[in-house]
Amino acid sequence: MSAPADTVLDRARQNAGLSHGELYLRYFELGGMSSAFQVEAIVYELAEASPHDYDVLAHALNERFVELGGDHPVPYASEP
Amino acid sequence: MTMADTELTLALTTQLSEVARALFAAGDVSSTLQTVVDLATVTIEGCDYASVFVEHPAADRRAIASDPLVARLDELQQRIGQGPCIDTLRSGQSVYVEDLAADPHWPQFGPEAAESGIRCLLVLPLSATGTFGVLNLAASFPAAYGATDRAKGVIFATLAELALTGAQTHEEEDRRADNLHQALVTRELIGRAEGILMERERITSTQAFDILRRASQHLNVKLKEVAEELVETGERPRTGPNDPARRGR
Repeated sequence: MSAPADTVLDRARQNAGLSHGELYLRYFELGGMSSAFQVEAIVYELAEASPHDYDVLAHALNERFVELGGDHPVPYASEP
Repeated sequence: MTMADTELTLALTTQLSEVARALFAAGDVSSTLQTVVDLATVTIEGCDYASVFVEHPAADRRAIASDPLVARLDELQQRIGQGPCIDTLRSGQSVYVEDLAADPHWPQFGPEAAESGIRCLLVLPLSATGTFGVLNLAASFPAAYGATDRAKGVIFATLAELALTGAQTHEEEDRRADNLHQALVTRELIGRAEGILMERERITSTQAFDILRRASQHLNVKLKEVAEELVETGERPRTGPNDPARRGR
């Protein structure tokens, strides 16, 4: 089995120190509607997210970076 | 098997069954550790003091002792970096020291432990899921444990290990349930804040989320706090420049 693809969201997830389950819970908390399985597929760019869904995920990650003393490093789909 | 042997076996089985029941009924990890040390001194003949600690990669080290004397003994070993407990932690094997005053293995720890009143020590490894720990059974007299007591100690440690694994799983499930509950509460709050914005500004839920998200970024607070403020005060959050809902109308 090949290693998962190196994607922007997955790199951010790893830098934020979040497991897939932890990221999903944060995404769900913000109102995300996709399943945990779909979110993982989005993170690995195996499924396409709507701009809104992408932004919910990006914000879940960015809130974690703020907790860690950082800024909002993950770009939003609605802010090209 | 003689009548006396049969009675002894029956007594042992009954005692260990009761120990198992008590250990599994203790509840969380701290209560289980407390029960382990409480029961060790009454179950293992010759055992005057007991201490236990477990290390978990995702949590603090947890230690409980039946008496400050044996807690000091653990601290001493950690401080000087030698002792049977340290050996068990490194090797994962049990260690039995008949007489700390006479054993040459730990030239500093042995005499100091004997001086403090502990002569005999049985150290047993505890490997509950995802953790590693040690059970110390200490005695005031040398050669306090016979072969049966040591065997009983091994069974006791195995039961403690299983009970700790159960307690850890239980705690983990509780933590997950709490997190999920908290996530649901927050999700509902954010939904209410979005609803207020949608109704008031005649926008979609996506646009309402965007306002909250931009405000969260602009004010450098969590989106949850922006939603809370909006629900409580009814005031539209400040989003900084480029508010999409305002721009698009």
